[in-house]
Amino acid sequence: MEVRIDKDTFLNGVQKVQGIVETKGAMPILSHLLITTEKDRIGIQATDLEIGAKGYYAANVISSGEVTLNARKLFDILRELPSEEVHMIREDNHWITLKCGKSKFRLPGMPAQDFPPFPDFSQDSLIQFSSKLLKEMIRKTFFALSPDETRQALNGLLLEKENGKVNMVGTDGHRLAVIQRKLEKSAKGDKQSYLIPKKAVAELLKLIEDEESSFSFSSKNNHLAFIHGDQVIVSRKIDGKFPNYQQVIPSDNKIQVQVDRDVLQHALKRVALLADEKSKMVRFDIQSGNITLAADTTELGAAREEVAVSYSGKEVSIGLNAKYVLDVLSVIDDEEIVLNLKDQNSSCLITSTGDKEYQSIVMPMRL
Amino acid sequence: MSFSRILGQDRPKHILKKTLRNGCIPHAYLFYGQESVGKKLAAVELAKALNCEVSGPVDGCDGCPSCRKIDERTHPDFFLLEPEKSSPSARDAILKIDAIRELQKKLIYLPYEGQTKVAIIDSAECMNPQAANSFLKTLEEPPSKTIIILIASNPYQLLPTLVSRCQSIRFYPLAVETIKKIITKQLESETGDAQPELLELRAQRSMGQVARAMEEDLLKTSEYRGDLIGLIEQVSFKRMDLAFQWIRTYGRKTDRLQSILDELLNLVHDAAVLKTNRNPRAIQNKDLTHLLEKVANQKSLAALLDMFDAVHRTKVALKYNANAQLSLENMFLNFCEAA
Repeated sequence: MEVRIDKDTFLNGVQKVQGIVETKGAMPILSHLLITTEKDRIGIQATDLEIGAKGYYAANVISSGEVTLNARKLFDILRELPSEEVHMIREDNHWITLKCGKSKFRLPGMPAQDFPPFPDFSQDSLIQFSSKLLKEMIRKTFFALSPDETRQALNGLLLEKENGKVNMVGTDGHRLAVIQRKLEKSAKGDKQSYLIPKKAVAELLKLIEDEESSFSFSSKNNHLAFIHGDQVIVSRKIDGKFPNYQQVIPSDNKIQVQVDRDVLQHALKRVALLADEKSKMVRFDIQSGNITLAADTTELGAAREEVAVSYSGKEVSIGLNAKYVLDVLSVIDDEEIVLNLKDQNSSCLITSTGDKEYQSIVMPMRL
Repeated sequence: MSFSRILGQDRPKHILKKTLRNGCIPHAYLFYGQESVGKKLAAVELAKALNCEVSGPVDGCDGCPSCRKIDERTHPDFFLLEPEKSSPSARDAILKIDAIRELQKKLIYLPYEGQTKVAIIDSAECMNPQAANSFLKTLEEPPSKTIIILIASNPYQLLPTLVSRCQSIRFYPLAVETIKKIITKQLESETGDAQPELLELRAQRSMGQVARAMEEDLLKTSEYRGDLIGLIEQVSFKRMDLAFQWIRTYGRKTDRLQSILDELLNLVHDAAVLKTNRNPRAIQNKDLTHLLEKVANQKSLAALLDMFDAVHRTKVALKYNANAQLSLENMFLNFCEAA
């Protein structure tokens, strides 16, 4: 095998799969990436057996073949090379020579047939996203995912498709974020739902660069795929059932408090400084005309701040995790948000005035 | 037929084959029985059978990529956990909670390319209590398309909550003929020569365990047997000098002492078996039958049993670092009393 490729193209391709490559683990070959050749392009793929990524890059293929190379080392080398053409040649015994300008490197490879085969994925697009839409949906739900990797069903984003609409839901059991968007072009059909593992979502975010291009989502057997031009991310499906999130969204929260997002965000950040380190609880005392945010701990001290709101009705107090509320406030784009409450023991639904299709729920804490 | 690669163990093999044919495989197995009798081999073969592309899910073929990858331990849906020493100087290898958590994380995905994910926990009794407890939930309700196989040589060391969640299959010590077949093959592939008379002796004295039959010093310790029989026969309050002399020679070999005492234990056991005339197949030192018969005729059964107890107690004492010389002297005093 012999290939000539522009160094910056090569570096870009190698960089895209770095996040997936496993550096330590039982199978040494997973720390390598596989480079294959086609007519006038090379394919770069990596996998950690949970997710895999493959991308194609234009290159001058002199003779075809397959090689594996240590991903980390290759990346480090390419980064330091001058912006010239890289010449890659495979020797007989799996060794690879890289030449660029006056530098020359020899790297050991592994037998390419030992590399786990790329999972079979479907080209049939189930859902077509624009980059902008996909990015927004992920950004507004991703923060709510559970960091606990053993709670399998909560460790991924739920993607639902129903009647020309698409939902994305993330939850960790204490809070939940759900976003619904209309699809530009989509056939009507039965409700379908998929769980996308957290790691796959993180890799997907890296792939979204510009806002113009589009992503298509497909599913086959045990694998999900996101296809973006010449790039594919494939993820194994999580074996688990996402909780029935519709049940959790409160429908009879009569108390609606409209408040300026920016003002609340800053006030809450200040008060949260003295909130209990572990629970991050801040007390929201809601009266006609204002909310009093209060944090009171014996070790740290007490903080109190008033925020003007448009509300007139009975007084209610609720304890909420400041971090959870701040996470929501930071992803909402509108000026005004609405806190929908019932009483101090019921969950708090946060919506924004301009976007009825985005809802976020934070469970209360005992005062 | 890959199950046929397992020699002996007809009963476990029969059970596994039948469940595979009926297609009702339990979510968790516990394979237990003495060390080195084929438990792990059977577990690996079961994994191969479940994922085989040719003859699965009834048996493995050893030829398809799936079977090959499981044999090479590179199959993405095959997990084998073994206890690890936390540092090179650590005394015992243990299975820690991190390893179990890592496994749990991997099991939540659907299979990568195979039909069924198989997780084998070798030496499951080496799990520390934290690891075992963290495993309970997964073991009770594993993710779909997953089977978990625990392997233990001593199931009584496992938490009862683990055992009750698995279907247990007992593996028995191998027959002498089977051992002979296995070690002939292994020795031939290693050194290229196998001396039939030594093989016979090794197989006889293996207690049904392949690893024991292959041990380097198995034959070496067997050389002590002549002396030991002499001692059993002659030691009495009048001839204590024999005992003291023996202790002077062997008392210092602390690294060998356990295996020498094992030999003594076996000899007393064999003499007792001869005395009662029951089950001659249980005799491990067949080559010394003529000497053992003399001992059996001379001693009473009660005396032999007392001796057995004495040796056993000494072994335990030495394990807990008791003074070797004193313990051995005490043991021979017990011998004298018994005689």
